[in-house]
Amino acid sequence: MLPFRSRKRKKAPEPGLTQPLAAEVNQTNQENSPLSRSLAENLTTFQTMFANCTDFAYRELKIGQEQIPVLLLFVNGITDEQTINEDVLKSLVNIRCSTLEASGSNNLDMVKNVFMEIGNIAEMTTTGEASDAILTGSVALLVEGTARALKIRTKGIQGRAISETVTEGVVRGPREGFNESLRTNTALVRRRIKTPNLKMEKFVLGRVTKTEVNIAYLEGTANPKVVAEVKKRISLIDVDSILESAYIEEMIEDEPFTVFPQIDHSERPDKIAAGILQGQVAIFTDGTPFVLIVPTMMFQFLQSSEDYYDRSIYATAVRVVRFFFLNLALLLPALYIAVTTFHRELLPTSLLISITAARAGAPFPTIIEVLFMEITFEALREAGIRLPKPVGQAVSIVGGLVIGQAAVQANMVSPTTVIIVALTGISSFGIPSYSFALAIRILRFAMIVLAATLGLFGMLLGLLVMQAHLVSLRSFGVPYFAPIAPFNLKDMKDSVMRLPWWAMGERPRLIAKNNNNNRQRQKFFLKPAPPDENR
Amino acid sequence: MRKLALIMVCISLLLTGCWDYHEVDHLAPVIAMGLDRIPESKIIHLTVQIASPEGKGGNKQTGEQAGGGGGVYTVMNSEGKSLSEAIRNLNTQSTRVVLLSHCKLVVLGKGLAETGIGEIIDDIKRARESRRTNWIITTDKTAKEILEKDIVLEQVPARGLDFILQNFNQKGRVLAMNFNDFFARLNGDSHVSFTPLAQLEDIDKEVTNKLEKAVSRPLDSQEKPKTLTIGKTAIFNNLRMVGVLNEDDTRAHKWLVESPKGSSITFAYAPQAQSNGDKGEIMLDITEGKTIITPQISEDRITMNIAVTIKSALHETGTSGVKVRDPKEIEQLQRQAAETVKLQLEHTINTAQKELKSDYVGFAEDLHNYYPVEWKQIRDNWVNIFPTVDCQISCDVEILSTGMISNPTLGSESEE
Repeated sequence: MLPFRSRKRKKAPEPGLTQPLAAEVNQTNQENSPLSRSLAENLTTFQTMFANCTDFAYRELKIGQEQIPVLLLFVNGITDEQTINEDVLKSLVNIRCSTLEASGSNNLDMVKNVFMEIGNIAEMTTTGEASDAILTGSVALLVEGTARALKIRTKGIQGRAISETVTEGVVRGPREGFNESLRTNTALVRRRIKTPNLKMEKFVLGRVTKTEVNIAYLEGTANPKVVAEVKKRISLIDVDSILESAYIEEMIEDEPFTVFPQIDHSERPDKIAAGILQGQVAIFTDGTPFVLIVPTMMFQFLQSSEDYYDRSIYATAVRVVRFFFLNLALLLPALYIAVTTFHRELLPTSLLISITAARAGAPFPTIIEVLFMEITFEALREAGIRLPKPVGQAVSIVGGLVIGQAAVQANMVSPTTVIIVALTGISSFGIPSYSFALAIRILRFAMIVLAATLGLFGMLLGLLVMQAHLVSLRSFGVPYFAPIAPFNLKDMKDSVMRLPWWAMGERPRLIAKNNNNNRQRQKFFLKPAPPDENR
Repeated sequence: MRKLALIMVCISLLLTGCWDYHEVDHLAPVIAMGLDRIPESKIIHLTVQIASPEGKGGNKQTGEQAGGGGGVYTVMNSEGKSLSEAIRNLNTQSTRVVLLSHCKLVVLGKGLAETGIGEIIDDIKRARESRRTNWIITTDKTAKEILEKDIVLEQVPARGLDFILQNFNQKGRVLAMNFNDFFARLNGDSHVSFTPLAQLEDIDKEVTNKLEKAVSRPLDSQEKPKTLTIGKTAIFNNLRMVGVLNEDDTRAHKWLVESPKGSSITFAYAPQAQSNGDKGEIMLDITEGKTIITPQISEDRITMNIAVTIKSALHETGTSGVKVRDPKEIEQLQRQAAETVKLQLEHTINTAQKELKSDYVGFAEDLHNYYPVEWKQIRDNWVNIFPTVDCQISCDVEILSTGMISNPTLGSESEE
């Protein structure tokens, strides 16, 4: 029997989207029922719908000379109380001397068109629509004798103010970061790109959470195929909840089984705006400051937004350092194991002697030492992130002093190993993208095992497999390893190097593909020069 | 089934490849090898110097060793019918795996060098661990004595030897030879090669004795062990050591084979040498130098034209009478220096032709290169022809700089 014969796997029967999800069942029958003409009937409908919801509130009042009863429905807390009191209620109460029909169906239109002092108003006809509106922070206004309702936007949820980003700090550059409110986030981008070509399309995902998701792109710059693909993939998502953009990320990425992230995310409006301007598509999710941006190439994970604000020579130098530390973070412990246990002749003699001296009396093999220290380090890092801040400091002291110093003094671990692990830890912090650093962290352990079993040969095999995997990845059709494979000289201007802004004449080719006539982003020959005195 | 196979492959990865896995603290890194042979005996005596940093109570924290003087090495001895057998025999006494890939140099004992090194060469060249850049030196004692000698300022003496030989490449009077150069010369047209010669000398005692004689009382200094010096050259002709060049010949030998650069010339200043008690030795530092040997075959004789050009800096005058600012004086110094060099070179070549009858300058290569056709005819008879080769030496010395001062400060004239 051939062990590796590939067989057609039995496909599980598709669940079929015709069956309603569990969360859906008791809602479907209500959602499409139209509103009733009778106000009392509507009130009962909504009262049963929102039974046991203390934050649900309604207000009945009679308006105009005819004393027509109207009903306001809203949810406390997500609506702005001031708007309801001062604008909605006041404008309703102020209807005094006008003539409303006793049972006329155009009373609603009168209210909407003549009296309401609110900009954002829409009409609804079903209970489902009305309950959606109520739950997203609008006030539903129902009038006796009309089978329609008004959706008056009074959204006023208490959110975090725009504050400095936590995960992507810069020395020079804008400080503001996204917050949890989708509208604020899109506004931060709109503020930077003032053109009607910046399109924002709305999706509502999650049958229960009804999370609003917006995709933003620059029409005429973004690749229409990528935009269409993003829309298609997002519209295929049919889940009950979306609480963070990672939910979307995992459902729209190209290759689900890989350690490498294929979609970048950021909480910096300037980074997202820069991405949109070079033809990428941003995906905003309500409730999280992290905005996804597609398509992403590997190099973007090694670039920070500050690269574009520092002088280009320095930015290039920093990127080179990052590449160096990326390699250290991936390979250093493995290299240490391979060289000291298999390839002693590669070490300089004096280094061999000092490593030998340092390892004298160490009870465990190098591989165990390194794994032990690496795992300890990972635990320390994890503890440092999760624990409350005051405790976190204690952890770092205990971790640094007790594990580092005492382990060496007790002769449990050789000091060289501590140096190697510490250097690796620092190197992994040199990668700007946290999610990419996670991939490197995982792969480092694979490399350690390979190095401990097969030496440099094993490391080489591991790198080979990793490289083959990297070049096989795609992010929304764009090769992940571009612009190195496939090689593109013009796109190299912003990969390892960062050319000055006057030399960034064209957008990246692979992202803005199929837009050949619109690749140029600025005038050429913008290089500054002192004035010519002969002229 | 497929999953099972995959798991088995993964597990097998953990089992394979470990056959040459060794922790560094389970290794005995050999830093130098010494080879001796008792004449009329087949047996090779092997002495290895092994770095053992944790052996002598070092400070483990930093990997640094305490107590500067005490070396951190051990010496092991073994015997065998051949070199490789002797190396294998080391394992019978070593608790650790003998690691040869860090070996820096091989020391040939006098007995072995004189009886012939043919049989050990094969193993040295064939072994995977030996490096073509390893140094090779000879000693006039046994290699065991050399390798058991502490070298001051160094914890592992063999590394000290390594540093000495490395320094020779930049500034030294002796040509340091690595395996590659040594074998290339041995396999070359003349079949003559050479190595530096390590000696144990009682420099300290000599100095003490002389000083004691001068002050006529015993000096209040401690007796020190002998010092290891490398200042002479051992000449190998056809795998056998045939003789030793003294210090002066060694220096001239380097001028001929490589270049005079980095060396120095010392000669007596003639006009005023003994006038006012100054010794009058003038020393020139050779900053740049070139030696070009051009062979010429005429009808009845072979002539080697040796042209030496030297650019030098005045390093020391040793006398007050030298008027450095006078161009004529400088010219005279240049002439004198050239004459000194020429005399020395003539002496060295004479030693090669008459005394050792070994072409250690490499005239054979030059002839082969310039006269390939004629060389084929004289090749077999070269041993007899070599002593008859005529040498025309021309030397040109230029003094480009006089250091930080011009005229000697001790002189009667002021410096203007």
